[in-house]
Amino acid sequence: MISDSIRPDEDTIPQIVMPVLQPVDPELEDAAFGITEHDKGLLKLATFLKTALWLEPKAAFADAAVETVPRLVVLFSLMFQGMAFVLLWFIRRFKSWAFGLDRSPRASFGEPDKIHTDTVSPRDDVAWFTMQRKQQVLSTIAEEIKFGGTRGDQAVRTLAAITGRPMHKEARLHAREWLAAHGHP
Amino acid sequence: MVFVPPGATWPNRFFALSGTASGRVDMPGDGTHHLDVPGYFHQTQPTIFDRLNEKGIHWKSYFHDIPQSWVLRRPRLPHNVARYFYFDEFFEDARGDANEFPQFCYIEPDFLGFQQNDDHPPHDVMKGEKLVADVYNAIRSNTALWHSTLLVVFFDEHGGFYDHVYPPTAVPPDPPQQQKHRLLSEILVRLNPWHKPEETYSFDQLGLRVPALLVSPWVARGVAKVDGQSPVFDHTSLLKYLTEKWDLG
Repeated sequence: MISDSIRPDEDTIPQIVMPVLQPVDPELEDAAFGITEHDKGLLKLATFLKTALWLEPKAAFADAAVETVPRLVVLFSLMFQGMAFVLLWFIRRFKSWAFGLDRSPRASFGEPDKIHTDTVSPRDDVAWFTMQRKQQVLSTIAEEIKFGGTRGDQAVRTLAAITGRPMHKEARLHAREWLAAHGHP
Repeated sequence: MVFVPPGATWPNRFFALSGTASGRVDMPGDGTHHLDVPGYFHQTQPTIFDRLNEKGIHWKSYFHDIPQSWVLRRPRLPHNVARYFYFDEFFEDARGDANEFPQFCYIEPDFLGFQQNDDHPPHDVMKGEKLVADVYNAIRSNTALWHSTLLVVFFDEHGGFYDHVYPPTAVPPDPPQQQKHRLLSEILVRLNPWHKPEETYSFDQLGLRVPALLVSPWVARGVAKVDGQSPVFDHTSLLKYLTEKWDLG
Protein backbone atom coordinates (compact mmCIF):
# COMPACT_ATOMS: atom_id res chain seq x y z
CA MET A 1 0.00 0.00 0.00
CA ILE A 2 2.82 2.38 0.87
CA SER A 3 5.00 3.16 -2.12
CA ASP A 4 8.47 1.63 -2.17
CA SER A 5 9.89 4.82 -3.64
CA ILE A 6 12.32 6.84 -1.58
CA ARG A 7 10.98 10.02 -3.16
CA PRO A 8 7.44 11.40 -3.04
CA ASP A 9 5.39 11.05 -6.20
CA GLU A 10 5.62 14.42 -7.97
CA ASP A 11 3.10 13.47 -10.64
CA THR A 12 0.06 14.46 -8.66
CA ILE A 13 -2.73 16.93 -9.41
CA PRO A 14 -1.52 20.35 -8.25
CA GLN A 15 -5.05 21.65 -7.66
CA ILE A 16 -8.53 20.19 -8.01
CA VAL A 17 -10.50 22.70 -10.01
CA MET A 18 -14.21 22.54 -9.45
CA PRO A 19 -16.31 23.52 -12.45
CA VAL A 20 -19.25 25.83 -12.03
CA LEU A 21 -21.66 23.83 -9.97
CA GLN A 22 -25.11 23.13 -11.19
CA PRO A 23 -27.33 25.51 -9.23
CA VAL A 24 -29.33 23.68 -6.61
CA ASP A 25 -32.82 24.44 -5.49
CA PRO A 26 -32.34 26.41 -2.26
CA GLU A 27 -35.98 26.09 -1.32
CA LEU A 28 -35.85 22.29 -1.48
CA GLU A 29 -32.59 22.17 0.48
CA ASP A 30 -34.00 24.45 3.16
CA ALA A 31 -37.09 22.30 3.35
CA ALA A 32 -34.87 19.24 3.88
CA PHE A 33 -33.48 20.61 7.13
CA GLY A 34 -34.18 18.38 10.09
CA ILE A 35 -36.01 15.62 8.25
CA THR A 36 -33.42 12.85 8.60
CA GLU A 37 -32.78 10.84 11.75
CA HIS A 38 -29.20 12.08 11.65
CA ASP A 39 -30.33 15.72 11.65
CA LYS A 40 -32.82 15.12 14.44
CA GLY A 41 -30.19 13.41 16.54
CA LEU A 42 -27.75 16.30 16.07
CA LEU A 43 -30.42 18.80 17.08
CA LYS A 44 -30.91 16.81 20.27
CA LEU A 45 -27.16 16.86 20.84
CA ALA A 46 -27.08 20.65 20.44
CA THR A 47 -29.84 20.96 23.03
CA PHE A 48 -28.06 18.56 25.35
CA LEU A 49 -24.82 20.58 25.21
CA LYS A 50 -26.48 23.31 27.26
CA THR A 51 -27.15 20.72 29.94
CA ALA A 52 -23.70 19.20 29.65
CA LEU A 53 -22.06 22.52 30.48
CA TRP A 54 -23.12 22.41 34.10
CA LEU A 55 -23.99 18.74 34.41
CA GLU A 56 -20.58 17.43 33.44
CA PRO A 57 -17.65 18.30 35.69
CA LYS A 58 -14.81 20.56 34.76
CA ALA A 59 -12.21 18.10 36.09
CA ALA A 60 -10.96 17.35 32.66
CA PHE A 61 -8.43 14.61 33.21
CA ALA A 62 -10.01 12.81 36.13
CA ASP A 63 -11.53 9.45 35.26
CA ALA A 64 -14.28 10.20 37.74
CA ALA A 65 -15.37 12.93 35.38
CA VAL A 66 -16.84 10.44 32.97
CA GLU A 67 -19.00 8.46 35.33
CA THR A 68 -22.57 8.09 34.22
CA VAL A 69 -24.87 10.79 35.48
CA PRO A 70 -28.11 9.51 37.03
CA ARG A 71 -30.99 9.73 34.61
CA LEU A 72 -33.19 11.61 37.02
CA VAL A 73 -30.64 14.42 37.16
CA VAL A 74 -30.69 14.57 33.39
CA LEU A 75 -34.48 14.54 33.41
CA PHE A 76 -34.63 17.47 35.84
CA SER A 77 -32.09 19.39 33.79
CA LEU A 78 -34.17 18.88 30.66
CA MET A 79 -37.25 20.12 32.50
CA PHE A 80 -35.29 23.17 33.66
CA GLN A 81 -34.22 23.79 30.07
CA GLY A 82 -37.81 23.53 28.93
CA MET A 83 -38.89 26.18 31.41
CA ALA A 84 -36.00 28.41 30.35
CA PHE A 85 -36.99 27.96 26.71
CA VAL A 86 -40.58 29.06 27.42
CA LEU A 87 -39.36 32.08 29.37
CA LEU A 88 -36.99 33.10 26.56
CA TRP A 89 -39.79 32.67 24.04
CA PHE A 90 -41.95 35.13 25.94
CA ILE A 91 -39.06 37.58 26.25
CA ARG A 92 -38.46 37.42 22.50
CA ARG A 93 -42.14 37.96 21.78
CA PHE A 94 -42.13 40.95 24.13
CA LYS A 95 -39.04 42.44 22.44
CA SER A 96 -40.66 41.89 19.08
CA TRP A 97 -43.81 43.68 20.22
CA ALA A 98 -41.99 46.45 22.08
CA PHE A 99 -39.18 47.22 19.66
CA GLY A 100 -40.56 45.94 16.39
CA LEU A 101 -37.73 43.47 15.89
CA ASP A 102 -38.20 40.69 13.40
CA ARG A 103 -38.15 37.30 15.10
CA SER A 104 -37.04 35.45 11.97
CA PRO A 105 -34.72 35.11 10.21
CA ARG A 106 -31.99 35.56 12.80
CA ALA A 107 -28.20 35.68 12.76
CA SER A 108 -26.31 32.97 14.54
CA PHE A 109 -23.99 33.66 17.44
CA GLY A 110 -21.51 31.29 15.79
CA GLU A 111 -21.82 33.04 12.43
CA PRO A 112 -22.93 36.60 13.17
CA ASP A 113 -22.05 37.69 9.65
CA LYS A 114 -24.78 35.51 8.11
CA ILE A 115 -28.53 35.17 8.37
CA HIS A 116 -29.91 31.73 9.05
CA THR A 117 -33.35 30.49 9.78
CA ASP A 118 -33.68 27.03 11.24
CA THR A 119 -30.04 26.35 12.05
CA VAL A 120 -29.58 29.34 14.36
CA SER A 121 -30.29 27.54 17.62
CA PRO A 122 -27.95 24.56 17.20
CA ARG A 123 -25.13 26.79 15.95
CA ASP A 124 -25.59 29.09 18.91
CA ASP A 125 -25.66 26.18 21.35
CA VAL A 126 -22.41 24.79 19.93
CA ALA A 127 -20.72 28.21 19.94
CA TRP A 128 -21.76 28.83 23.54
CA PHE A 129 -20.61 25.38 24.68
CA THR A 130 -17.27 25.81 22.92
CA MET A 131 -16.65 29.22 24.47
CA GLN A 132 -17.49 28.09 27.98
CA ARG A 133 -15.45 24.92 27.77
CA LYS A 134 -12.37 26.75 26.49
CA GLN A 135 -12.56 29.09 29.47
CA GLN A 136 -12.98 26.17 31.84
CA VAL A 137 -9.89 24.40 30.56
CA LEU A 138 -7.44 27.06 31.74
CA SER A 139 -7.50 25.87 35.34
CA THR A 140 -6.87 22.31 34.14
CA ILE A 141 -3.97 23.42 31.98
CA ALA A 142 -2.45 25.26 34.93
CA GLU A 143 -2.52 22.02 36.94
CA GLU A 144 -1.26 19.84 34.11
CA ILE A 145 1.74 22.03 33.36
CA LYS A 146 3.01 21.40 36.87
CA PHE A 147 3.29 17.67 36.11
CA GLY A 148 5.89 18.25 33.41
CA GLY A 149 6.79 15.53 30.92
CA THR A 150 4.28 14.52 28.26
CA ARG A 151 1.28 15.79 30.25
CA GLY A 152 2.90 19.17 30.70
CA ASP A 153 3.93 19.39 27.04
CA GLN A 154 0.43 18.50 25.89
CA ALA A 155 -1.06 21.12 28.21
CA VAL A 156 1.27 23.81 26.86
CA ARG A 157 0.40 22.78 23.32
CA THR A 158 -3.30 23.07 24.15
CA LEU A 159 -2.72 26.51 25.63
CA ALA A 160 -0.82 27.56 22.51
CA ALA A 161 -3.70 26.34 20.32
CA ILE A 162 -6.45 28.21 22.16
CA THR A 163 -4.49 31.42 22.63
CA GLY A 164 -2.83 31.54 19.22
CA ARG A 165 0.49 32.24 20.96
CA PRO A 166 3.44 29.89 20.23
CA MET A 167 4.00 29.06 23.89
CA HIS A 168 5.19 25.55 23.07
CA LYS A 169 8.28 27.08 21.47
CA GLU A 170 9.13 29.11 24.54
CA ALA A 171 10.25 28.24 28.01
CA ARG A 172 7.46 26.62 30.01
CA LEU A 173 7.81 29.45 32.49
CA HIS A 174 6.20 31.82 29.99
CA ALA A 175 3.06 29.69 29.82
CA ARG A 176 2.86 29.57 33.61
CA GLU A 177 3.34 33.32 33.82
CA TRP A 178 0.59 33.87 31.26
CA LEU A 179 -1.78 31.61 33.19
CA ALA A 180 -0.92 33.32 36.47
CA ALA A 181 -1.54 36.71 34.91
CA HIS A 182 -5.00 35.49 33.90
CA GLY A 183 -5.95 34.17 37.30
CA HIS A 184 -4.66 30.58 37.14
CA PRO A 185 -1.42 30.39 39.15
CA MET B 1 -13.01 -0.37 0.16
CA VAL B 2 -13.78 -0.80 3.83
CA PHE B 3 -16.55 -2.74 5.51
CA VAL B 4 -18.68 -0.70 7.87
CA PRO B 5 -20.58 -1.86 10.92
CA PRO B 6 -24.20 -2.61 10.04
CA GLY B 7 -25.73 0.49 11.55
CA ALA B 8 -26.66 4.10 11.02
CA THR B 9 -24.43 7.17 10.86
CA TRP B 10 -23.71 7.47 14.55
CA PRO B 11 -22.58 3.90 15.31
CA ASN B 12 -20.24 4.01 12.33
CA ARG B 13 -18.67 7.22 13.55
CA PHE B 14 -18.38 5.81 17.07
CA PHE B 15 -16.41 2.89 15.67
CA ALA B 16 -14.12 5.17 13.70
CA LEU B 17 -13.24 7.19 16.80
CA SER B 18 -13.33 4.64 19.59
CA GLY B 19 -13.48 1.16 18.08
CA THR B 20 -16.94 0.47 19.48
CA ALA B 21 -20.48 1.81 19.53
CA SER B 22 -21.19 0.39 22.97
CA GLY B 23 -23.78 -1.84 21.39
CA ARG B 24 -25.93 0.99 20.05
CA VAL B 25 -27.25 0.63 16.52
CA ASP B 26 -29.55 3.58 15.98
CA MET B 27 -29.88 7.30 16.64
CA PRO B 28 -32.24 9.18 18.94
CA GLY B 29 -33.84 11.01 16.03
CA ASP B 30 -37.00 8.96 15.92
CA GLY B 31 -38.20 10.44 19.19
CA THR B 32 -38.73 7.17 20.98
CA HIS B 33 -35.54 7.62 22.99
CA HIS B 34 -35.99 11.28 23.79
CA LEU B 35 -35.53 10.76 27.52
CA ASP B 36 -32.74 8.28 27.09
CA VAL B 37 -30.03 10.92 27.16
CA PRO B 38 -27.49 8.86 29.13
CA GLY B 39 -27.74 6.11 26.57
CA TYR B 40 -26.58 8.28 23.71
CA PHE B 41 -24.66 11.18 25.15
CA HIS B 42 -22.83 9.43 27.99
CA GLN B 43 -20.80 6.82 26.17
CA THR B 44 -17.65 6.90 28.22
CA GLN B 45 -15.29 4.73 26.19
CA PRO B 46 -11.81 6.15 25.48
CA THR B 47 -11.38 7.66 22.05
CA ILE B 48 -8.46 8.17 19.72
CA PHE B 49 -8.18 11.72 21.09
CA ASP B 50 -7.50 10.40 24.60
CA ARG B 51 -4.83 8.04 23.32
CA LEU B 52 -3.15 10.87 21.42
CA ASN B 53 -3.16 12.99 24.57
CA GLU B 54 -1.48 10.23 26.54
CA LYS B 55 1.36 10.08 24.02
CA GLY B 56 1.66 13.84 23.64
CA ILE B 57 0.59 13.82 20.00
CA HIS B 58 -0.49 17.26 18.78
CA TRP B 59 -4.00 17.00 17.34
CA LYS B 60 -6.83 19.26 16.30
CA SER B 61 -10.39 18.72 15.20
CA TYR B 62 -11.97 21.11 12.71
CA PHE B 63 -15.73 21.39 12.49
CA HIS B 64 -18.34 23.45 10.66
CA ASP B 65 -21.59 23.74 12.58
CA ILE B 66 -21.72 20.95 15.15
CA PRO B 67 -19.13 18.27 15.98
CA GLN B 68 -20.91 14.94 15.85
CA SER B 69 -18.03 13.45 17.86
CA TRP B 70 -19.37 15.34 20.90
CA VAL B 71 -22.06 12.68 21.16
CA LEU B 72 -19.29 10.71 22.87
CA ARG B 73 -18.57 12.01 26.33
CA ARG B 74 -14.79 12.17 26.47
CA PRO B 75 -14.42 14.50 23.47
CA ARG B 76 -16.72 16.91 25.35
CA LEU B 77 -14.32 17.19 28.29
CA PRO B 78 -12.67 20.62 28.47
CA HIS B 79 -9.13 19.58 27.53
CA ASN B 80 -10.46 17.89 24.38
CA VAL B 81 -12.91 20.64 23.46
CA ALA B 82 -9.93 23.01 23.65
CA ARG B 83 -8.60 21.32 20.52
CA TYR B 84 -11.78 21.78 18.49
CA PHE B 85 -11.75 24.68 16.04
CA TYR B 86 -13.99 26.02 13.35
CA PHE B 87 -13.03 24.82 9.88
CA ASP B 88 -11.60 28.20 8.80
CA GLU B 89 -8.64 27.56 11.07
CA PHE B 90 -7.70 24.50 9.01
CA PHE B 91 -6.78 26.69 6.04
CA GLU B 92 -4.78 29.00 8.28
CA ASP B 93 -2.87 26.05 9.75
CA ALA B 94 -2.30 24.51 6.30
CA ARG B 95 -0.74 27.74 5.06
CA GLY B 96 1.70 27.85 7.96
CA ASP B 97 4.82 25.94 8.90
CA ALA B 98 4.36 22.24 8.14
CA ASN B 99 6.20 21.37 11.35
CA GLU B 100 3.56 23.24 13.32
CA PHE B 101 0.65 21.53 11.58
CA PRO B 102 -1.13 19.05 13.89
CA GLN B 103 0.16 15.49 13.68
CA PHE B 104 -3.44 14.29 13.57
CA CYS B 105 -6.44 16.22 12.23
CA TYR B 106 -10.07 15.22 12.28
CA ILE B 107 -12.37 17.18 9.97
CA GLU B 108 -16.13 17.09 10.40
CA PRO B 109 -18.37 18.43 7.63
CA ASP B 110 -21.29 20.81 7.80
CA PHE B 111 -24.23 18.70 8.89
CA LEU B 112 -27.19 21.03 9.18
CA GLY B 113 -28.94 23.39 6.85
CA PHE B 114 -28.35 24.81 3.42
CA GLN B 115 -24.54 24.70 3.69
CA GLN B 116 -24.58 20.96 4.43
CA ASN B 117 -21.59 19.26 2.77
CA ASP B 118 -21.58 15.87 4.48
CA ASP B 119 -22.99 13.96 1.49
CA HIS B 120 -26.09 12.98 3.38
CA PRO B 121 -29.17 12.82 1.21
CA PRO B 122 -31.19 14.76 0.17
CA HIS B 123 -28.59 17.54 -0.10
CA ASP B 124 -26.37 18.24 -3.09
CA VAL B 125 -23.43 15.82 -3.13
CA MET B 126 -21.29 18.34 -5.01
CA LYS B 127 -20.86 20.24 -1.76
CA GLY B 128 -19.20 17.21 -0.23
CA GLU B 129 -16.95 16.89 -3.28
CA LYS B 130 -15.98 20.52 -2.89
CA LEU B 131 -15.10 20.00 0.77
CA VAL B 132 -12.69 17.19 -0.18
CA ALA B 133 -11.25 19.32 -2.98
CA ASP B 134 -10.74 22.29 -0.65
CA VAL B 135 -8.92 20.14 1.89
CA TYR B 136 -6.75 18.54 -0.82
CA ASN B 137 -5.92 21.90 -2.38
CA ALA B 138 -4.96 23.40 0.97
CA ILE B 139 -2.57 20.55 1.75
CA ARG B 140 -1.24 20.28 -1.79
CA SER B 141 -0.43 24.00 -1.90
CA ASN B 142 2.06 23.63 0.94
CA THR B 143 4.84 21.39 -0.44
CA ALA B 144 6.38 20.54 2.91
CA LEU B 145 2.98 19.67 4.33
CA TRP B 146 2.01 17.67 1.23
CA HIS B 147 5.17 15.58 1.50
CA SER B 148 4.40 14.65 5.10
CA THR B 149 0.63 14.12 5.02
CA LEU B 150 -1.71 11.19 4.55
CA LEU B 151 -5.24 12.40 3.79
CA VAL B 152 -7.86 9.76 4.61
CA VAL B 153 -11.41 10.22 3.36
CA PHE B 154 -13.91 7.97 5.10
CA PHE B 155 -17.61 7.53 4.45
CA ASP B 156 -19.50 6.55 7.56
CA GLU B 157 -22.09 4.38 5.87
CA HIS B 158 -23.26 2.98 2.58
CA GLY B 159 -25.75 4.55 0.22
CA GLY B 160 -27.54 1.39 -0.85
CA PHE B 161 -28.20 -2.23 -0.01
CA TYR B 162 -26.17 -4.06 -2.62
CA ASP B 163 -22.66 -5.46 -2.46
CA HIS B 164 -21.48 -8.53 -4.36
CA VAL B 165 -19.05 -9.33 -1.53
CA TYR B 166 -20.71 -10.97 1.47
CA PRO B 167 -19.71 -9.12 4.66
CA PRO B 168 -17.42 -11.18 6.88
CA THR B 169 -17.92 -11.79 10.56
CA ALA B 170 -16.22 -9.60 13.13
CA VAL B 171 -14.92 -9.87 16.67
CA PRO B 172 -17.48 -8.22 18.99
CA PRO B 173 -15.80 -5.18 20.52
CA ASP B 174 -17.65 -5.32 23.84
CA PRO B 175 -18.94 -7.85 26.33
CA PRO B 176 -22.72 -8.39 26.15
CA GLN B 177 -24.61 -5.23 27.09
CA GLN B 178 -26.53 -5.17 30.31
CA GLN B 179 -29.35 -2.73 30.48
CA LYS B 180 -28.79 -0.30 33.32
CA HIS B 181 -31.44 1.57 35.24
CA ARG B 182 -33.98 -1.11 34.38
CA LEU B 183 -36.45 0.15 36.96
CA LEU B 184 -36.50 3.67 35.54
CA SER B 185 -36.79 2.28 32.03
CA GLU B 186 -39.88 0.34 33.01
CA ILE B 187 -41.38 3.43 34.63
CA LEU B 188 -40.72 5.40 31.44
CA VAL B 189 -42.37 2.69 29.38
CA ARG B 190 -45.45 2.85 31.59
CA LEU B 191 -45.59 6.64 31.50
CA ASN B 192 -44.79 7.02 27.83
CA PRO B 193 -46.48 4.57 25.46
CA TRP B 194 -44.11 5.63 22.64
CA HIS B 195 -40.98 4.85 24.61
CA LYS B 196 -39.29 1.63 23.63
CA PRO B 197 -36.26 -0.09 25.14
CA GLU B 198 -32.97 0.75 23.51
CA GLU B 199 -32.00 -1.63 20.75
CA THR B 200 -28.53 -3.13 21.07
CA TYR B 201 -26.31 -5.30 18.91
CA SER B 202 -23.11 -7.21 19.51
CA PHE B 203 -21.55 -6.13 16.17
CA ASP B 204 -20.25 -9.63 15.44
CA GLN B 205 -20.99 -9.09 11.74
CA LEU B 206 -19.65 -6.42 9.41
CA GLY B 207 -21.93 -4.65 6.95
CA LEU B 208 -21.64 -3.47 3.36
CA ARG B 209 -18.54 -1.80 1.98
CA VAL B 210 -17.96 1.90 1.41
CA PRO B 211 -15.17 3.66 -0.47
CA ALA B 212 -12.15 4.98 1.41
CA LEU B 213 -9.51 7.23 -0.12
CA LEU B 214 -5.86 7.37 0.92
CA VAL B 215 -4.25 10.45 -0.61
CA SER B 216 -0.52 11.02 -0.31
CA PRO B 217 2.54 11.23 -2.56
CA TRP B 218 3.83 8.21 -0.63
CA VAL B 219 0.86 5.95 -1.38
CA ALA B 220 1.08 3.64 -4.37
CA ARG B 221 -1.61 4.22 -6.96
CA GLY B 222 -4.56 1.89 -7.27
CA VAL B 223 -6.46 -0.34 -4.93
CA ALA B 224 -4.84 -0.77 -1.53
CA LYS B 225 -3.29 -4.21 -1.15
CA VAL B 226 -0.95 -5.87 1.28
CA ASP B 227 1.36 -8.53 -0.17
CA GLY B 228 -0.78 -8.62 -3.30
CA GLN B 229 -3.93 -9.41 -1.33
CA SER B 230 -6.92 -7.21 -0.55
CA PRO B 231 -7.25 -7.43 3.22
CA VAL B 232 -10.47 -6.79 5.12
CA PHE B 233 -10.52 -3.18 6.21
CA ASP B 234 -13.12 -1.57 8.42
CA HIS B 235 -13.50 1.71 10.25
CA THR B 236 -11.15 0.61 12.99
CA SER B 237 -8.32 -0.03 10.51
CA LEU B 238 -7.28 3.60 10.82
CA LEU B 239 -7.19 3.27 14.61
CA LYS B 240 -4.93 0.24 14.24
CA TYR B 241 -2.64 2.13 11.89
CA LEU B 242 -2.38 5.05 14.28
CA THR B 243 -1.84 2.72 17.22
CA GLU B 244 1.08 1.07 15.46
CA LYS B 245 2.49 4.35 14.16
CA TRP B 246 2.58 6.11 17.53
CA ASP B 247 2.52 3.12 19.88
CA LEU B 248 -0.77 4.26 21.36
CA GLY B 249 -1.29 0.97 23.16
